[in-house]
Amino acid sequence: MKKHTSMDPNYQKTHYFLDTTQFKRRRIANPLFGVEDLNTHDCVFTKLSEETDDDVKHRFHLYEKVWSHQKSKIEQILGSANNELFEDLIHYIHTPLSLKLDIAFLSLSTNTANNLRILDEFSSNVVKNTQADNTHIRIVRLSSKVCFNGKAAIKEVVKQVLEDPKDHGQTLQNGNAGDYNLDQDDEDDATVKEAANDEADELDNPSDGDGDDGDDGDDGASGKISYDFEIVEDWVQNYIKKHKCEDSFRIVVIFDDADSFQNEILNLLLQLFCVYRLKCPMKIVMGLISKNASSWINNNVTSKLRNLLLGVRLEAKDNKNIGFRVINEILLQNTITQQNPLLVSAHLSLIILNRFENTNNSIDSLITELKLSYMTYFYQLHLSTLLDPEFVAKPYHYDGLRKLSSFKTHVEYFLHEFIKTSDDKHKTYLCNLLEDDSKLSNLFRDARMKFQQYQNTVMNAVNVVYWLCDHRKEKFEVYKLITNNQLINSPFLTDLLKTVKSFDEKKSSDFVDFLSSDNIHPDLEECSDPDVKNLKNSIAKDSNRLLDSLTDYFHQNHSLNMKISDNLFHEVLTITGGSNEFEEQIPKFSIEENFENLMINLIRPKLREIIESALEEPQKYLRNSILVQKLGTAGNFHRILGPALPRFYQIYKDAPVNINLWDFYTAFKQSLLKREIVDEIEENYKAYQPTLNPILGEYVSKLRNSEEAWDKMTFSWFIQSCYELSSMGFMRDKSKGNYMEKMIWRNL
Amino acid sequence: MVKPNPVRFRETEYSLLSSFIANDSHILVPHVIVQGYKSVGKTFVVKSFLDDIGINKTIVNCDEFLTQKLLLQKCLHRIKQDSGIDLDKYQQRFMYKGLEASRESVLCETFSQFLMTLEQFIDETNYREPHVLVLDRFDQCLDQTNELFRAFLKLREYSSITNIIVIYITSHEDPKEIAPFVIPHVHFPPYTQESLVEILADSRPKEVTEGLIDVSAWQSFSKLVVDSLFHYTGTDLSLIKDICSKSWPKFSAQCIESGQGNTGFLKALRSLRDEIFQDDIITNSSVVTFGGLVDEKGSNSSLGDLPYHSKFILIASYLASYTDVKLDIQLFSRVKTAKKRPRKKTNSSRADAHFMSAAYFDLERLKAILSVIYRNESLSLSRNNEEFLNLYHDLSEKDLAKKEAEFTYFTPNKSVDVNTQIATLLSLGMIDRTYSLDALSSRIRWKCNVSWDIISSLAEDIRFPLHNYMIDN
Repeated sequence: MKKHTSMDPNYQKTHYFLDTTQFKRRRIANPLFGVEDLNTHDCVFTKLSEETDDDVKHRFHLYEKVWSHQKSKIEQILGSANNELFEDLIHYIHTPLSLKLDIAFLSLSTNTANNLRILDEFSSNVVKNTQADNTHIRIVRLSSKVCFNGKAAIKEVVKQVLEDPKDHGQTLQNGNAGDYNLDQDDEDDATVKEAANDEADELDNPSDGDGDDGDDGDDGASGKISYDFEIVEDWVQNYIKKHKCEDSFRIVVIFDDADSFQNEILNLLLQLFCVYRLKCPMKIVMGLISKNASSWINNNVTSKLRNLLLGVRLEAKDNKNIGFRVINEILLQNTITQQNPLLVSAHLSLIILNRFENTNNSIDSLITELKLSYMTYFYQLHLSTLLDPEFVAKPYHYDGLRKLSSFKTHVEYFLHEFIKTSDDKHKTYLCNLLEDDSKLSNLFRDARMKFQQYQNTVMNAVNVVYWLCDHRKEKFEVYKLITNNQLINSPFLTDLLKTVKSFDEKKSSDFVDFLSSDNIHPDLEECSDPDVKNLKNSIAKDSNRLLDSLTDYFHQNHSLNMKISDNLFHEVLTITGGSNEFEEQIPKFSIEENFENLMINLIRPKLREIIESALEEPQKYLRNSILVQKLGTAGNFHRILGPALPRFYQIYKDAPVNINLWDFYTAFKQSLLKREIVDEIEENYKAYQPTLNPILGEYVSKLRNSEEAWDKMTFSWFIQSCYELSSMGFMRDKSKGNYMEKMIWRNL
Repeated sequence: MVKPNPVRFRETEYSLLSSFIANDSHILVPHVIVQGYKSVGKTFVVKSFLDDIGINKTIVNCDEFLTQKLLLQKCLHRIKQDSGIDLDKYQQRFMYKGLEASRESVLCETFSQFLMTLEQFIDETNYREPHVLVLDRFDQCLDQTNELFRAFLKLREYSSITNIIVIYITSHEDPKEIAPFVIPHVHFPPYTQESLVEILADSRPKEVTEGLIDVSAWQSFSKLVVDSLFHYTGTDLSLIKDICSKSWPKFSAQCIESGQGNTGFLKALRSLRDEIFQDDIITNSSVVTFGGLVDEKGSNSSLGDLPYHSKFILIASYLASYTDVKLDIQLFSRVKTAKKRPRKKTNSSRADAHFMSAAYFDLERLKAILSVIYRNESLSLSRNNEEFLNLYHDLSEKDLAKKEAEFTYFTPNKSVDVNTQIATLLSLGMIDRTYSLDALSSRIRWKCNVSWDIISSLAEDIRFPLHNYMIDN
């Protein structure tokens, strides 16, 4: 693997800086096709190949169409995922208050972003819902970032209660409270005016210049300190009087991330709310990451407070289920439609699955990843316009198709056939493909058709396996196996077929029912799945031979015995997430686990790894075969004398965490072979003598004779290397004394 | 005159109070401190006493207020309201630092300002009736109140106010700041166990008052609760009442089922002994699930839904915190010689590392440990191959070696998610770090913030052999 690293495209990446002044001119210089005026096609995509402005626009719209379709599906799933929970919560909020402080412990997931999204959805749900019973609910959201102390927290509560729910709704992430109609509260208006007056007063009155109590800002309403909860009390009394809603009015305080609150503040707030609940109808909702509310209370709430709380527990839906639902519904469909024309490539499915399962457990990043995959696909491939059957392909599109590796494989196959049989039929076929665009167009259409058939067959197989394994494996996992051509011969399938052996009558008939259910599509508009049909027929013929029929189904099914990338034009018909084939080909036996972060992977180089390996083996960059070839005989020089830094790095690598500067220098000096180096310097000097300063000549001779000059030179190298390494972040000065601190961990 | 004392077991304290305070401004003491352990009836006695003598009073719960300023403002405000003076007629003009202030909110920055305003109010309205200010839970204020205490005690020295009496209700010893003052104390001793039972038996639940259950059953039940939990609750009446109210419904239902009398009580007790006095009820942390109203099952996997990698990171952080750096080579490296050292048996008296506080470590070390343990123990690294692929069937030695080498080089650190996960764990409070002004400084050190219980349950969860990586002394 090491051998390939310098060829790895990752090593060619570097950091890019975007000059924003360029965007003002809306002109981007495309290194290949000259200056491009974005105004003409007005979208973020750049021109590829010989595309016209309309082509770019078309490509962009196609992307927007496909992604917005997927996105709306995702939103639909996410929006409905927690409906039950929300209903429960709202119901809970409406239940009459108990004598104690009512508190709902909401078990969310360990992913903070997810939790916030759920709570955002909930609050916008409450605000949006204009049904009469929700209008008198005020939602207060507290997060640990705002509530760094009690004062700030109460201030925040006061602020959010008095805020008009309309405004409040807009501050929420998904808040779309435009249709929310609450009569403008006169009381509120008055308060605002009063506040304004008081504000002016404060300006007039310079005596309030204590400074030490700057945070005791004045809310204004009837002259109370801004963290005085009586403001809320008064407001609530007025509100209730005005709207006559003693029973339905509620203040709901939501702790967004109860686990991140400081315990003191949390307890303080709870205690205060316990006091205030007598005057304001209040309910508390705690967003917890843990599923075990009792133990959380035990750990975080004082025993004195526990007497005053009456808790119930609510649980949010598991993230993982939602995530897989999203994948199932948007990626694993039987039919190719205009809105959903793409399948996920084997490599990408591996990455998505691994990352979602093992590393982040976050739906948001799953969605970002999917979006990015679609984006890169449409951004970097001008052939993507071909997905639109209406689109009339141009010559350069056909040229592009001819350059695809799957097309080349196709051609090679027929070439072999031709050589084998020397049948002219093949020859003309090949010539047509290479020269006649309409023939190629037909081929592409056929390939799409075949791909549709492949997709249908695979999805049917996925559904069959999913049913057979009793839903123990997720559909996407099965999909990953099949598209990687790993299902057949896998122990998993063997085990699966073993369980089939033990099916009883009931189960067998269930299976037959399942086969004729909606999950399996033997026929689509344009194609059919003969394998499933065969399976059905053979079971119908002899239901006792279920196992044999299934085995045949799996093994005879051509689509299950190939990789997704064996399809013709798979480059156009699948999304890869921007990973290129080259990377896929390097490791012959790659580890199945792959956590590549697509986004980062696309743009960010593995900087440190590159620097480290470069320092370890500078030959790769400094004296590699290409350079030597180019330099020719001149390259005979500098045999020993390379930059001092790599040598320095060698010593650094073996050093302990704290490096004494003197030891370091001595070691460095000793690692240099004085005589050879001086010889080489001299030789070099002679070679370039006419162009160089004569003082150097003196110095070279001094170097040979005087130890001091040698020391000086090595020391200057040493100092320079030190600075270089510290500027790269490999080491740093210790604050005291002449020590350097090693900053990479190389002891293990 | 004072009517006979209605509060049981508090006759002495009641009469003490009555000797200090009466509705007659000539015999008033300026300050009284009421002291006693929590829930021994201090506030209750004081309130009923003041009601009995019908004096003007203002009761302020000090622990409601975030700051001293707010507390003083509320005192002032409520004294004015409770004084019976018509506030619509009388408009006080506030002076603040020599200027007239338009708002009350700037007032009472300090105690002297409070005093000044109060004095102004009393002078201008000629308010002379005795007025009691009760500062309840004065020692539980959110601000420090020792200085305020002292200032309050000097109220009469610094002002012409003569009709305000302050009662401080505290549950702690006097702070040293007020040591020089001679103030009458009324001490409330804790209830005895017997009186506790009697008080409890008097507050009958509705099953008893409705006649469904014999009074004796409730009495025995309250005695049972007090006797069995006295060591935990002490004389904390409210805590005991709470526990009773939580366990009584179940018990009473069983009692009604088992029939009247002593035998019924015993029968109910026998069948419910384990259920009614659970830890959850005693620690007051039981929570029911909404809708179903079933008690929560004590699930142990509180962190069950952490992503797989996060679990590894947590374990790595635990190992980094609780194992010695010196042992790293022995524990985590592949150096064979180091591993051969025989394990010592635990016989030394040194404390187990699990009980020590967590040590700080460098992030690099965490990552290094993470890649080692992940490589060695991760299920999924090899899972796919064994479960699905069976690659080992027809691989040559060379290929196997190659594969082995790849496994050796594999590290999850390359995935940038590791950093975000560490950040998430930090924000969840499971990992802790030092803070420094320089955000990129290597001096920021980290430590594990979760206990052995959680880590071991996590390890069980992902079948991680934690003990292979720890050396017990």
